[in-house]
Amino acid sequence: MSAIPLTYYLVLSAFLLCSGLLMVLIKKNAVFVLLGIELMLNAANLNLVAFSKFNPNLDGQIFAVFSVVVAAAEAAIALSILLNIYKKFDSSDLDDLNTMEY
Amino acid sequence: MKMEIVDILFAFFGAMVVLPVIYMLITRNIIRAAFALVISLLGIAAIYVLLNAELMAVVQILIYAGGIIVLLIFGIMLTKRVSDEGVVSEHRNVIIGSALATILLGLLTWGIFQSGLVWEGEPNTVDQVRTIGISFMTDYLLSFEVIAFLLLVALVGASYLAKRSGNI
Repeated sequence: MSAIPLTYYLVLSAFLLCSGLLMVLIKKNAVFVLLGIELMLNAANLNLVAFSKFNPNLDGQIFAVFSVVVAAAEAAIALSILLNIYKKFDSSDLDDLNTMEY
Repeated sequence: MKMEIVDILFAFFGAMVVLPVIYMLITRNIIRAAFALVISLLGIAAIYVLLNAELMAVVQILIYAGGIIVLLIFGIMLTKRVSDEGVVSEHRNVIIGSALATILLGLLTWGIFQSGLVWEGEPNTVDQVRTIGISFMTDYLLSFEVIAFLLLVALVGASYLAKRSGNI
């Protein structure tokens, strides 16, 4: 039935985490940084679901559902903040955000 | 080792997750990156199906590929004029960032293969939607209510933030 070992899923998840981190580090635009954060959250979800495959309580999947809801809330808040930043600075490059006064 | 259909499916959907992510890393166009992320998220949903997690696969398609991506594309289109010069983003700190991410990936992969984690027992065959629903209403009731309130507060806060920016 389960020919694929658990470690393969964990390596895939580690790849998603590292590429999300790399995207947060190297991109200048704030929307790219949000995409990288979504990738990292997906890596965590993949780990949780993989660990709960053989668990009849399904605790891992319940955690993953909570994590998805938190990701949706985070995306909504982050994008409305990004809209405000764009109206204030006329740019969504993170390097241009060099003042804290409003 | 004999190739089974599950191995081929895992390889296919793993490539469907990995290749768009690599494309997202090298492209400068934000719209293309957002649509590549859609393909990657659908691949993750397929991998959830391979992991016997049908509910999570449906949630992934509905909320990530349906909701969050639409939000992100709205965010791109409201902050940039897509038709003008193309929505591009520069890179910076490429070398040190790649070095850090590669070292972290190597360490994680080494640790994962070193740990020798395996699944034990039998794969669960319970009715997932029923089990998760019962857990939400019994063991995780407080967490469920708190997360519902968090979502409400986040939506109210997001609409308030977006409205205030229009008045000032």
